[in-house]
Amino acid sequence: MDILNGLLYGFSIATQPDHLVLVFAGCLLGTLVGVLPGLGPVAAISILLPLTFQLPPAGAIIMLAGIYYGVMYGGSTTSILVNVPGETASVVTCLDGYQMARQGRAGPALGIAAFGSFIAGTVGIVGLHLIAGPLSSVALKFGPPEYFAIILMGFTFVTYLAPGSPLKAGIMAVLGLILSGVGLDPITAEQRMTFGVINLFEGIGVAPLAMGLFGVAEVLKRLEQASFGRILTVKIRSLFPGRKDWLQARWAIVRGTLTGFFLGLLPGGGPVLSTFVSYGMERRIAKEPERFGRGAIEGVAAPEAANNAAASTSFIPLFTLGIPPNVVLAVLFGAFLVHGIQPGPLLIRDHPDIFWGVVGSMYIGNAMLLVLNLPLIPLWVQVLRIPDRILYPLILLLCVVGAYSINNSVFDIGVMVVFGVAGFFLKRGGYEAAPLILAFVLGPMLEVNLRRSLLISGGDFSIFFTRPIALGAMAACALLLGLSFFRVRKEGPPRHTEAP
Amino acid sequence: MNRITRDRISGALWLAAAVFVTVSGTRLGIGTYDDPGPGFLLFWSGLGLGLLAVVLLLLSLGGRASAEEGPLRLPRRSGVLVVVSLALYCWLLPGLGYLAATTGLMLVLFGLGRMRIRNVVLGSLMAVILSYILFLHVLKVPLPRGILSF
Repeated sequence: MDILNGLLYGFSIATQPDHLVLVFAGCLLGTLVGVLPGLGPVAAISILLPLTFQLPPAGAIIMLAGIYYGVMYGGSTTSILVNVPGETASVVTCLDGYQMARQGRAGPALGIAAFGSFIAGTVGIVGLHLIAGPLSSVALKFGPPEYFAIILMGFTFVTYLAPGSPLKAGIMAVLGLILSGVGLDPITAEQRMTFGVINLFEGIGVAPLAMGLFGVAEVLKRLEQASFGRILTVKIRSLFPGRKDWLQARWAIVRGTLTGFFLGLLPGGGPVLSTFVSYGMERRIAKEPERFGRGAIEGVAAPEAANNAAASTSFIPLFTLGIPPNVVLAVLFGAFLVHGIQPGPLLIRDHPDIFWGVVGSMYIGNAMLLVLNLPLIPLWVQVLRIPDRILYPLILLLCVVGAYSINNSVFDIGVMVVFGVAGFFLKRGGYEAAPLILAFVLGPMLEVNLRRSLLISGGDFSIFFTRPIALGAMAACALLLGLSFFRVRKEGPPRHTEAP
Repeated sequence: MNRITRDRISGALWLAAAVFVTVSGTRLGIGTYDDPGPGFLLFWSGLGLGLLAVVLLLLSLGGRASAEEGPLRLPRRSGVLVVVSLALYCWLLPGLGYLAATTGLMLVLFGLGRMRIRNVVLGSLMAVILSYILFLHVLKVPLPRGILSF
């Protein structure tokens, strides 16, 4: 199927009434989660995953993807109005967005964030459907050594780019790898670290793990805090940025889009990294850098464009190589598996309805978010006023029932609670959960491809250094490990950082 | 407890975990390079974790706590209550069934918010009934029936 036919086929799937409802629901739920401080896309997808169990796979993935880019859209609202990021990719938006709101320019800030997100998101989707096909064909020629090296490179990127100490991120990644080994051996079917518990024979589920580390742990963390920021009581006159705003922001949107586009493809990159890079770039090239942090519209436009472009293009490695480049896509990868679909180079050939349906739905979802969300901003502001004492019991209820409904097992609730408590203490100790989840999801693939590579080569490790793609990935690993080593030496003992 | 002490404790815990994983990997069978066994990755992951834990310990032993870093507090009473109630919920759910056990859980969780008793009860009942309808009737999840048989 060529690209044009594929796209038309995708639109024919995405415009089916039930799929339109699912896109709408996904975008709405995603925006809601993005607006609420604390819960990010990982927790949202994990918690809402059980709602998709009764859906056909294409519908389920369409809805979950909608949640993901909906979160990216919604996160800016709290950053601008409350100075509290709805999720990590909106941290940078606080810097200038809140200042604009304080100066009575909340409308243009929200407007440029929405338009910038729409433009960048759409460019990202164009890239997704143009690149995914050819890349899948190339990926079909990859063997176990290439896969092993690329996954290892993903681990290294995630460890290097994680906020805080690379040493602690490395510990989390190895821990994720170890946890992924619990259950039956993928080749010999021997029990590994199951302690005779039948529920562990199939391993630990990614959804209870993610719900615990990102949902329950977040609630426990927030219980420690007195309150969030103060909502500005500004009157939003117009959400349409003026001519001057557009002139100031246009190139920032273009640069943010390009930055997000390429960083979204990078393992470990994704929306969060792209916002920091694009903001830093804008500040560096600005004629008046002192305006940044005081309400520069470019400081809102560039990161918002970047995180939406990255959210779209981060689907490319998942759809073509079967390798999730960041933690959100890792949970989405788990969702694919729950629905019996294996993402990878054969996805477009074997499940064109899912690939093209998701691509088509992303175009529609992006337009929906723009048309629906601008008028709904007053509603989202009201959502921010929901007291924690009502919100958190409901989040915990969704976590509990959601964890149970995956396998109809109380054991999964227990797993979620255990990892919730562990996640709370890990956060307190300056350990980020993201490398753990990514390593946990990629662990089985890493192991199988490592063992197959060694079987093929008769135990000769040079197989990873004699094939060009594997060699390139291994060289990137070595470089990043070297940089991490110097960073640890330079910084000394790990510093304690907590994700917002 | 300052950051340095915290890193020392976590480093020691990771080291203990690394020893356990490495030994488990060895028991499962590491195999050979040309035919890796089921314990192969666990063994090497355990060694990797051990190495990182040692580096963390060494760095923390050589470091000094700085004043800007706050102490590690234990969770507040509400956090402990949430965890204990969730643990009890796991234990009681199969026997009591979804409706009774979840109502109890929600009463505790809403109760922590210092709301009026009437609001706590109303909120809990609404949340339980709505989730029951959504998951049992809409999403067809067979929720545990327990002693109440519904």
